[in-house]
Amino acid sequence: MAFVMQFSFAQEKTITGTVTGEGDGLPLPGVNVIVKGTSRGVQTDFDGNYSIKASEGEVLVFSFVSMKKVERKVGASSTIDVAMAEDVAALDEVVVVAYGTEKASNVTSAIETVKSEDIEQVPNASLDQVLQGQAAGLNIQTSSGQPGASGTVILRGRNSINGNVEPLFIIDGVPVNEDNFRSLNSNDIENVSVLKDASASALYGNRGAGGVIIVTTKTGKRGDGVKVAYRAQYGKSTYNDPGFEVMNSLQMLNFQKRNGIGLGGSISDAEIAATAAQANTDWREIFFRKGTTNSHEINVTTGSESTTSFNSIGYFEQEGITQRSAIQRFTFRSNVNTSLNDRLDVTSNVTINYSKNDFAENEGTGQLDNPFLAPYLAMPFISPYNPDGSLNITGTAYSTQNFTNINGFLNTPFITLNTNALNEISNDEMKIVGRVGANLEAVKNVTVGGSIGIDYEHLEFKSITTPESIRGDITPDPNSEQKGSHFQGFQRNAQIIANANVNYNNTFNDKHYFDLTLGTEYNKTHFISSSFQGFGLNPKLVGSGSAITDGSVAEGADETQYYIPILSATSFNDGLFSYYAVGKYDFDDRYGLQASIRRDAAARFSDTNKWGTFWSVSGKWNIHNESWFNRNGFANELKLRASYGVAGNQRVGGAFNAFSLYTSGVSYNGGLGFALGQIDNPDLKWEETAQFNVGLDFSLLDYKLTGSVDVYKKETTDLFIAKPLSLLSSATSINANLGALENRGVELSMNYQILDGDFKWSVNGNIAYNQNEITNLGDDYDPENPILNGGGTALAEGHAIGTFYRVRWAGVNPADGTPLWLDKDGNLTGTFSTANRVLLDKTQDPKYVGGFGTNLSYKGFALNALFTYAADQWRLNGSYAIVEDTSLAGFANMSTAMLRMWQQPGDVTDIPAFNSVTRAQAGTRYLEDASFLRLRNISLSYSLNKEFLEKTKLFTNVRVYVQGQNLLTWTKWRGFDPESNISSTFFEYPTPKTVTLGFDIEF
Amino acid sequence: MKKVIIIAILSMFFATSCNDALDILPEDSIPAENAFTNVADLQNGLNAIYFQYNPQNMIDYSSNYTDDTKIGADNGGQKVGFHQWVLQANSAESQNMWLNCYATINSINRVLEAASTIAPANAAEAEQYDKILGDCYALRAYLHLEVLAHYGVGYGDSDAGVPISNFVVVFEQLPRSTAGEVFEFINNDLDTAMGLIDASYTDNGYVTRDFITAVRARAALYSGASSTALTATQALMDKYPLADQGQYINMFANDTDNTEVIFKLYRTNGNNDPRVGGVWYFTGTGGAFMEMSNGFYDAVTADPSDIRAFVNIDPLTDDANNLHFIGKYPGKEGFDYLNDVKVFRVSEMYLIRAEILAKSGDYNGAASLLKDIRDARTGGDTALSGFNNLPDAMDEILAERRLELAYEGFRFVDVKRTRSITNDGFDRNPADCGGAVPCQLASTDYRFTFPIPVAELNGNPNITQAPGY
Repeated sequence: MAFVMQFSFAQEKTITGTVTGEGDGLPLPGVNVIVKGTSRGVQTDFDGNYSIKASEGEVLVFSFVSMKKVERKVGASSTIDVAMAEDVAALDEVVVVAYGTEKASNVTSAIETVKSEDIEQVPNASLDQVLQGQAAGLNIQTSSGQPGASGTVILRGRNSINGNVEPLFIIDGVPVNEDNFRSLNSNDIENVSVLKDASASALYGNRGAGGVIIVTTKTGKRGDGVKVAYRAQYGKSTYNDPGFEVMNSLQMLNFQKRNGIGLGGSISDAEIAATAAQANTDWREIFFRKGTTNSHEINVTTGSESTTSFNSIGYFEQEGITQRSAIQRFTFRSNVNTSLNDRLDVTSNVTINYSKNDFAENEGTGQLDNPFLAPYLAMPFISPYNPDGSLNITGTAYSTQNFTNINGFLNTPFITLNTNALNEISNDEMKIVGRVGANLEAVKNVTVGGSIGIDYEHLEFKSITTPESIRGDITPDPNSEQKGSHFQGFQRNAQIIANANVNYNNTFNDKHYFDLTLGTEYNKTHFISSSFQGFGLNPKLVGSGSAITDGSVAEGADETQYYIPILSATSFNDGLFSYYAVGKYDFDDRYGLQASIRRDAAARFSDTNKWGTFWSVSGKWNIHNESWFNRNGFANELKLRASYGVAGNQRVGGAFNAFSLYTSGVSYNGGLGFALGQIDNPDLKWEETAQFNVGLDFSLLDYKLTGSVDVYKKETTDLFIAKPLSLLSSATSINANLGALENRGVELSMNYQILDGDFKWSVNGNIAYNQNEITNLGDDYDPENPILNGGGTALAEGHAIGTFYRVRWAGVNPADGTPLWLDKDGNLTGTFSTANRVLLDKTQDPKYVGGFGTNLSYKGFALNALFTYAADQWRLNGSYAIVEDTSLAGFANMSTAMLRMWQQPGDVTDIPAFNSVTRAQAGTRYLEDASFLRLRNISLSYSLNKEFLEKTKLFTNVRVYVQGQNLLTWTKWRGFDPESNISSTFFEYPTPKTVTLGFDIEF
Repeated sequence: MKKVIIIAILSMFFATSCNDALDILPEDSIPAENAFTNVADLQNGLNAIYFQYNPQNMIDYSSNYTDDTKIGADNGGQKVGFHQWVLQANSAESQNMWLNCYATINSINRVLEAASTIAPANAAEAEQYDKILGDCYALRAYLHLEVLAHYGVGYGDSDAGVPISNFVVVFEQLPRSTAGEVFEFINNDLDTAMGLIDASYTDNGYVTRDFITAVRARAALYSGASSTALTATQALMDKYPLADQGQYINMFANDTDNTEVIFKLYRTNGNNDPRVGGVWYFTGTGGAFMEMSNGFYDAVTADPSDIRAFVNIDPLTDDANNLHFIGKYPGKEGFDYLNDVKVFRVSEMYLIRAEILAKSGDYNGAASLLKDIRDARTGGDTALSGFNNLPDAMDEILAERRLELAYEGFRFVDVKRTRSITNDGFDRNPADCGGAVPCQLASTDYRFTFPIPVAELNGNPNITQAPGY
């Protein structure tokens, strides 16, 4: 708000006074004091004093951000002191909505806002992960602890089986890639608005079905002057304890001896003792390291009467908890808002970022150089060190079978050490998100606006296998003279968005508020990438493309060409074109209605299905504004909301699924070949989600308890599913819009201010329950044959996506140690058959997700904690299964659980006899409860006394803090990390725990 | 007026941007209607067909599913279930061959369909055009035979066979035809091909008239068409001699000898072509996840002068430590495990003929053909077998086929189709089995017919699953 002081000649007297805070009695600077009905106004000074001219009978209005407005009539006295109470009712804030902002009390949709203070300072390079647990209904999990790795964000359940499931992410009006946040600085964010229901997201048409998350970055405040802040952080990360143990040397050698396999099976007890005495390696300590985090940031905020800006530069560096894994990031942002006159506003937001990412090899795979494999299965009786104490990166005589099998299973830990020491996978990224927009009040109450924005990503990939590495020795070929390979590529993805709109709004009789917006939008994606991989590297030039041996070089008697480079280039465009209208009506701040409609066309569909119509209606009732409502009772504020609408999901299948396509490439006997690449589906269209939502926002117990409860039902139709084809067609299926599913759920979020004053204490929490159910899988669906959907799950009508479909494991037969399963009818059987698979009541996605936390503060001290949880989520533990698969015990370490393996008739145990079962027959044996409760963030901070700082005349704020991320986890999961976005794990990179120390200075 | 101009400019702007955003074509692939427009395009389509067919499935099934292999010391789970005869409709192996053969047939039908709209421009193109069509028909016949051999419930006229795919199937759901119908279809396609392919084509990496005759002989053996088999085998035996020991080595070690090779699939480019040895080896790193069985090792080393021991056993084999590596595809031209895939050799024609003769009671004629092969392989004069009944004759013929055609895609079908005569299924050497690996598959076991893959059952309600699954 801008206040204009004016000279005036009325018969007035001067009123003076002091404004203080009701809670602490401290003076409040910067309070706006205006004479009601006029434009006369002043602000209180640093000591809370003000002075204003007013006539008797006039009313002074005192207002201040987050304080309840106070009105005082000017009487005979010329002194008016005011104590302002905090306004804990959040309903009067401004909320970011689709294509704009709105007064909270006017909002008719289910929108939850996460504020900067809940985002800042979390030492995680990916914004989506920072949001975990912060808004009801958001399920965010990742299966990689690589710094900057993006998770999967699912809002209110999965809407799609084969299409995009994540919400649309918009940063300052620009839609951005939802899978890539590593290059953005989350400290720049002012707030994140989570648009959950159809009235909020239908306005995004065929991209809104999964919900919309709008990120707004910081800006300056008018008249605030220049503020400079410096922030620094330093931290350490390490791995979380897994819920299982592997054998030590003596245990494993004796285990091998007992079963007559491997090294232990071929040596005497005395030799076993000697071997075990030589080495007892805990490979976790070798493959996990302590990673460091280091960040620095300077931001400058300015605010004059006409222009505000927020500018930041940041440096962030984080090492992962295994060798090679790291991110190094430079961020830059400039947000500027200028009002050229009363009628024209121009806004620009630009962020330019550069990050260098280094990766460990092959995470999440069964490749022997995946560093997360070895902590499970590397043999403990092998020493990782050379006699001179240095790390062995070649292997021992034993692990390489006297150097004849250097790439074999036994050499796993050394292959990993070798690859991670000598080779490289990196990925440099330039990411720019920018937008320029302008709004012109063309005539009174009519505003014309336009904007152009871009999400630009440019990536440089590099992957080098050095000639001297173990993997290099077989690259490009074991027989080639020159070794090693150099892969390099680039990828550019530019998404351009342009919007033009016109808005009319007006208030009649102080009671009827109208707002109507018409707009059109153009959205185009330009993707291009190319790469080369060359072979045979000159050791003196490794790292540079000039190390590559020329492709025409031929060797040996056969003139073999080993070094022919692999070239690749690909490009495509994709586009959307839309127009929309949204109208709002509000009556007396009590009743509100909103309706929207949008027409969207998508390039990827054939001409008959290009255009879709999406719409919504919603309403609200501010019950507390009714004259009969007693705001001083148990309930202080109540707002009822309801909405219904239809949004779409156009990101189904590839960009050109409407075409039958042939690919061209090298074929038989070196000739050129045209091969069928894809069978067309010209009837393809978007998936459609209709959502009904009812919600209640409340403020109870003297505004101390605030929160929202929402109930929703989403029905997705034209669901993109695989229509099975006869394999005679050359494909197993073709994707078509044939299915339907539902998500139903309840969300509750609350905040309770227990203590206020010097000692402040509040608790907050949210919980979301979602039930997903597939209701239709097309005419071809046979209930006897659920459709396998990977990771041990299947699709079946009446069940959720990600429902596990497995043969039930029933333990071990005490008589002979053989495994037992349940057949389809629930009877014990000793024969494994996939015919006995059943749909289980266990799903990949959690039924309950949420978070809770507390904020405590006393004087300058503050303690904040956030716990996040996911309950009733299940996952196949493919990693742990390996250390219980005895067919691998010749070269792989085993779990200590194997010490209770069945030995003789009568043994009652959960581990079957040696080699009586393989992990392929595990059924539900490794289907584990992956529910967890995690202390996601905890921080303790101290801010220096403001009065003291004032005396320094330099600093306005100094704060130091210590922060912990993922410090504690409670789970039954047997592995390094219960969080994951996949249904079956196989040696993924676990999320680390991190402790950081930081300080902030403002001046 | 000003307003009209502004509106006109704005509408043009929106119309342009609308089209710009919506009229987008793929850049990296060829839309189907542009793919085949002339004879050269058809040739490219044919090249892709040769490349698409994966003969390794047959080699995989005939070795890893039988008594010719054991689980390798470097096994990390690869092929274990299949080797244990855990075979179900959802097994990968249930789908691999079925999908590959029918997808290749689908590509053939697409080229045939496209060809019907293309007229050759001149005489040279006309000849090329005929050759392309001939190759398509011949390969379609061959592929149907492969699927029938593995997925057919039996080979009798009225036994449940496999679907006949003679048009571009997309949404059609074809039932099994009878084996008799499939054999008839195969022979018709072979007749058509014979009429299109000139005798002047002799490159044995492509379809020739001899390829057509060889397919006819193999199909006749399976269907029991004795006179066809006798005619076809005689024609080929007259034309192709058996390789001597040196030629035999070169035929497999480096693909340079073609004395007895009627048809093979070229594997010429180590940087692009699949490597046959990948059926048992990690081709990138080395290491065998499947090894030669002790049973086969003992059989092939029984006669020290038999060159087939040298050809089949990899030199790194260490019998004392129970490591037996398959060496039939050692690689060539500097690339390990890269060898041409021999699909038809004349020795198979000898064996087909021997079997037909034995079945007709001419045991002496059969024995003398076996002797021809043994003499060539040992480089000496071997004894003539004295069997005098069909089961004994079949046992010897099967044993000879096992040695002669080892790891070339025969063992499974050979045992499958003769088990009613021999009453034998698979019986593994005790050194190769035990624990989770079963030693025997009874001759009556339902798993001698491959199951229709679950994906086919899902997409085709008209197909019938094989009994037992």
